[in-house]
Amino acid sequence: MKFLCGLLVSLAVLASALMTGAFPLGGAEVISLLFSPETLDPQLAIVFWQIRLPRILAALLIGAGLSGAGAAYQGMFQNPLVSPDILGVAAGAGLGACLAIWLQMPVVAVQAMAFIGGLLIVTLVSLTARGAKHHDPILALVLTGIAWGTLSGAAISLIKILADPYTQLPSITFWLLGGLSSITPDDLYYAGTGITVGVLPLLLLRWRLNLLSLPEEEALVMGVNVRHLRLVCIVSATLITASAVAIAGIIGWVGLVVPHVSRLLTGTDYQRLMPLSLFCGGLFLLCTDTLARTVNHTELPLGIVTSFIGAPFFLTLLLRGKR
Amino acid sequence: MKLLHLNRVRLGYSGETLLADVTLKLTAGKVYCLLGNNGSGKSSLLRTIAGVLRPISGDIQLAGRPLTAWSIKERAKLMAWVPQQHAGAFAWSVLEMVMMGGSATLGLFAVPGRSLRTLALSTLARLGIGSLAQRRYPTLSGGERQLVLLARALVQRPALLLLDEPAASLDFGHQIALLEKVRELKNSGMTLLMATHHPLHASAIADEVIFITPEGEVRQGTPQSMLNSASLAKLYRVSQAEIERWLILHAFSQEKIAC
Amino acid sequence: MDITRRHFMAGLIASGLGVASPFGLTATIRQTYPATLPSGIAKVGRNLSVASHSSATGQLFTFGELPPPAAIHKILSAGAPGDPLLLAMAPEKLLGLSSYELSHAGNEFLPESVRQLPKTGRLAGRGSSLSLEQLMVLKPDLIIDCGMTGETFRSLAARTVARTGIPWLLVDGGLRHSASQLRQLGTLLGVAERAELQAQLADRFLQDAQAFADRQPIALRFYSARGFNGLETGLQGSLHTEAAELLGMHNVARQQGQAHLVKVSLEQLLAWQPEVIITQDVRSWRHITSDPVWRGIQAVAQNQVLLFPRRPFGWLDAPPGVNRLAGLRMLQARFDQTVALTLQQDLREFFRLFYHCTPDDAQWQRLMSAQ
Repeated sequence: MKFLCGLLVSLAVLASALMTGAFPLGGAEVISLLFSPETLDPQLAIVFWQIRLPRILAALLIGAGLSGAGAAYQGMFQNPLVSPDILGVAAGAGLGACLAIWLQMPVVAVQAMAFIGGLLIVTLVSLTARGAKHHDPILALVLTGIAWGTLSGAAISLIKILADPYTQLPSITFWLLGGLSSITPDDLYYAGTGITVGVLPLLLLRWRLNLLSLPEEEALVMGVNVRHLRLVCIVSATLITASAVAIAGIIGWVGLVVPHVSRLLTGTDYQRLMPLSLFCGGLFLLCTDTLARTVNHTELPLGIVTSFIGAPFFLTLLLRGKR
Repeated sequence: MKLLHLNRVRLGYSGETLLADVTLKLTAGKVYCLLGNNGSGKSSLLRTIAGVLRPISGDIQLAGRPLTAWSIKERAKLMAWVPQQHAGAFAWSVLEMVMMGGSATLGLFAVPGRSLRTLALSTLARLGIGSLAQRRYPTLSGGERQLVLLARALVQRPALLLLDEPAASLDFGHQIALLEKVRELKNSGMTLLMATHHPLHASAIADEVIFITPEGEVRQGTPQSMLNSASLAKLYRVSQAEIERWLILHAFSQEKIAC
Repeated sequence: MDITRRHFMAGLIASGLGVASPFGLTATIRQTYPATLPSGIAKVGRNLSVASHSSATGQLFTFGELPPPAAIHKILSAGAPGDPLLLAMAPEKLLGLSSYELSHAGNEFLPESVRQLPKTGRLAGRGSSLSLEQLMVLKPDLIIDCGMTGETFRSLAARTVARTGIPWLLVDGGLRHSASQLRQLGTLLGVAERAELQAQLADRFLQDAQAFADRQPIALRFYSARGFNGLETGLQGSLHTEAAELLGMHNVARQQGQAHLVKVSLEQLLAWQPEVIITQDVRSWRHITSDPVWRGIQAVAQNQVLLFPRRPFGWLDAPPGVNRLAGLRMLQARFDQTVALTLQQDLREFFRLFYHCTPDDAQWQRLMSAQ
């Protein structure tokens, strides 16, 4: 029953996303495009296949990926306030992108720098955390993540001051606010691969993620290689987030709120929680992105919309929930 | 068959020695009781045996192979650990908790199937807590939680079971049930190493007794030789007279049923 | 404690000397300040009383006591829009440019003295890159800010004057007011002759633009592209698109009640179908002219993607100052034959009057190619 409800809701959301937009391309045109494209203005085909559909698919992928990463991290760090950015990947990616924008590099370079920046920061965090041998490994990760993330944030602020206020600074600001307005099919291809490769292990290992909620020693004796499992989580989540940030900028809240909402719906067992988080995350971002591009004549930054919608929704669910 | 052999092991945390020169031999099919003061290192010894705490020096042989040569998964199929019960931050159901014990038996990407579920339920039933299967673990009483943790360890079907003060929060009835269970498991061929604060329990079921003395010495021996008022007095740092006043060992050991 | 000391001293002196003082009690209090408080604060006291009398002459606000033109030797530009304006009017009096360093390669056509002007930093409240202490070290005779004249900027000016005692001139930076800006400032700074020539050129450009706008039966639809993928733009009414809008062109990006920078999507552009795309950003231009999806836009298909030069200041924007006059002329020339005929002369005249230079042919080619 619930399954059917979910399916209907998702189809409705998908349909409305496909049929709304700045360009006059509604339900009838979409159907024609799919079945008899020759009868239509070629412009419509371009809008649909090159602009709208990649954007919708990107929203689904990124939303799903970020929620999955957030869910995994929340179990791994045994902390409900954790988001995929706890190890600084979004800050590092942001730094890479801002650097590229400041140095006047083209689009592809900006995305590549963002991706590399994200991976680099997490590598640095993991290495430094490993050096802090006298602390609980999870605590060490969190603290070094905060430290490196703050450092990246400070570097970003520095770049903002040094950037030309009339040309570079607005670009940097828009990039940091996140958005899907410039997704191309190429973006989808590359980042989509990254996100899928990251989500797959999390999905396959979803039952084992439950075991990360136990004290490390107990899990070890039960036969779980906790260190390996954590490493897989980190690598997967980083791949997902770095790919997402590279093409869409920094989109907050999805990785933090959606796993919680899913948890309120289905409990803590990752067997159900992981797939549900992926599903809800994709839908959530699709909804917010559709809103962001239709409410105004111009684009609203996605990060702002996710916060404005996510926070109250989460609060209502929390107040009404039983668990 | 020598199941576990610790040879001149020095164990401790971050370079600080807790126990030096530990030599222990555990044979299969016996019940060993570990006694010692609070903070003497009982838990640390169990942790070292379980492979969680790396010894500073010395070597540990498990079933003839060095402990370090065992992979985590192989070790889990042989050895299980029942920790002291704790509150648990996550609201797992009892059944979910117990099924986690089966992780060593499942493939990497597998999810629990019907067989694991049935095993978990039957284990719970055998411990007399089958009715708790759908309850949330943090809502249980201390004693119930301890039994759940025991069930989780049993699902691993270990040859060696390490128990860390399992009777600590049990009421008297449950303590008896636990001792009965230990005897049953021993009869089925399991080796048990149980850290305990109750000399009477040791007296009742132990085949061998291990002391961790206040001086940091680890001594192994039969209950008859170890569990007398003189050595207990030295162990717990009370006078022999007090031991004899408060602990009626003599009568108890007479009632012990030979296995 | 200061207050009581002030009152005590005032009372003392007033009772003793005030009777004999020809200036009255207020003057007495002012004169006792140097005796009781450090001199810096004395100046503040004096300026506080004057700042409230800020005068508004058209779009010009004065804060503090303006020195006579002969006494102005050092001028500080508070922000980027004022840089080209002050560079045009009084380069010899400028302490430096607030946001630009013209010594980079590509600006060889400028006179050496101009290229040597240091970058002094912006005075913009919390967004300042010039600290007040540094400001005091520089000791300009006058600070000039060109740009927005709203309440925030006026209060910023008043606060800075109160704390430093340096007078502040705030000029409205609208492109259409260029001529009056030049004339008013010219008088105040003692460079009226030079300013008059500049103002006349500005008048000519602006009047021609207005005439062009009036002549158009249907407004040309344009889009102003910025950013590394051309999807950033200024909304209608923003400083960034003022030049094109003065020509009567219709900005496809418009939002009721807003006039700032926004991000748009290709879908919107394909729906709007601008006839002309103007940009100053080489990356935008490259992306727009090479990306296949952009070809669906009328402007791209009909080769109306215009790249404007960027030296020494952006011709269309960045900063939103008098530098935009060059872009205005160039844009009009694209669609107006009469203006196109005299474009090269007009632009060279502009560079001579406003940037004090006469680039040779090779330099001019490089400038105009905008690459």
